[in-house]
Amino acid sequence: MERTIKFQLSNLKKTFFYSALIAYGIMGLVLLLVFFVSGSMNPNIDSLMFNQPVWLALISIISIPFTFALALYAFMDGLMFFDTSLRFGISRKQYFFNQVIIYLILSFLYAFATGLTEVEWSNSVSSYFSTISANYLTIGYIVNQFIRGLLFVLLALGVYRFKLKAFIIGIIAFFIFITVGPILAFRSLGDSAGNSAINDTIMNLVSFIIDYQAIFVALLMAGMLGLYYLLITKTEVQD
Amino acid sequence: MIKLDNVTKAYGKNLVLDGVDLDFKNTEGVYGILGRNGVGKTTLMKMIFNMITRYEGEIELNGENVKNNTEALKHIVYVGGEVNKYNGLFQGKIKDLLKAYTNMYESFDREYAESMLASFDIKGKNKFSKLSTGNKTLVQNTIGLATRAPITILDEPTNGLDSVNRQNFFRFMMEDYAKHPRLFMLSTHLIQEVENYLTDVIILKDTKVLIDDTLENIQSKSHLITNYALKDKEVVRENALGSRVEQVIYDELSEEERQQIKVNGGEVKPLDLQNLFNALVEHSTH
Repeated sequence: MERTIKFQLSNLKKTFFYSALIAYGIMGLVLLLVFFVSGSMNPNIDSLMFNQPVWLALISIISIPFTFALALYAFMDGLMFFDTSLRFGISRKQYFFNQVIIYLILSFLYAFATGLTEVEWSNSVSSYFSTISANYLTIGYIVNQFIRGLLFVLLALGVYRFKLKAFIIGIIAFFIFITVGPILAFRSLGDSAGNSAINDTIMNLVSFIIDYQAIFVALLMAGMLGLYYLLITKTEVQD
Repeated sequence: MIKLDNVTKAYGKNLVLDGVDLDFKNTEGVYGILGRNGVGKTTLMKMIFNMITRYEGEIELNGENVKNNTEALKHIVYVGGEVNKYNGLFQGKIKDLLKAYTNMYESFDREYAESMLASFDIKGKNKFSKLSTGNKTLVQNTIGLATRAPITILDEPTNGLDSVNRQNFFRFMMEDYAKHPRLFMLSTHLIQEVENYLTDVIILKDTKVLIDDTLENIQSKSHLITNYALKDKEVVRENALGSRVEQVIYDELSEEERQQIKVNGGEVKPLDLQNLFNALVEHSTH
């Protein structure tokens, strides 16, 4: 247990380091670009940065890397941390349970950091944080980020286990997701003279999912967790 | 110590190990796991270290199942073989790898690892992925030795090593083994090179364990008999070249039998492990 925690803390440290590099690197590039394009600091950025108290600007800047940490940790988990854990003789089950806790923490940090960077300062500490709390620190929002993290790690583990095949399947699934959905929606809305039975079924299915969204999200999360558990406990170390 | 109980492993329809029973009783033994390519040596060692978990049967360390057992696994280290290209730690700078092992194994002797690598002229700032095959093997062997785990598994520790480096590595290994006796498992094709260092030998063939014995017992049972053919013995190989007969025997020979061979114009010679291995795995008489 102690070794597993030690291993995962070191992985978190690595992730935060690289997240900070990426986040501050992008920030620096954007500022440089703005400086060279406009000849001086853009007044909008100026006002955005200085329209809030210094302490809040500081916290916001410090928390920016957390918006990258979840996705980065998930990719590194699938491609590197899991493989390393096998080479260090870490129990797979222990690894899985600890990872779930880490993804929950990272989802929370993501939600909080996103809230800090997106919510505008309202001259009141309490109303500022209650807006963040009401819109970002909700179970629904955190669960959505958790599912996003699981999606990334499943894709990364798929690439680790099945090499390029998993990547191709992922791309195809993503393509279907972004094309078939809108096409079906467009058809059911626009093609009133078409096959009304199919349109009705699609509309009913959509409204059914919306009505029971929480159950569907829970099922999706359970399914993804099951798949993650399966990959962690069964995947052999890859050469 | 480590015990395999009826372990079976298959990849799809390809059966690799079938009902294997092994008992690594000698806690300070140097076990040679020998067998032809693809016989399941690496699979066997990876199963012991939980790198492969889909198999039937049970693997125990001191009576506890090793599968997903953190307590048991911290007493084992496995090094060798290819490392996944996505693994930035294991493909990255050697000094970072040593740091990671220091973090993960309390017994890891970093100074020893650094001095061993320096003796092979391998620098810590070098990237593992950029090393030659031989140097990759040396880095892995160094980690294996420096970890000082009670069970040290070295998968193909001579892979890509030239004769000088092979000799130097075994010198390091035996010196360290003398100071810190522990159970070693080595898999290799270069049997002649390792024979002097082994205490126990396991030979795998056709999904089964063909031989599991001490080197001493194996050597006492390995004979090459020329110009005479013995009956009722474990004849591993028999060649007839005209009137000349040659037998490879894997069996005890009594003094009477030795005399019988001599009286009849025959000759008995001891057979080294490499030649016994070749005879055993080439033919299926045994």
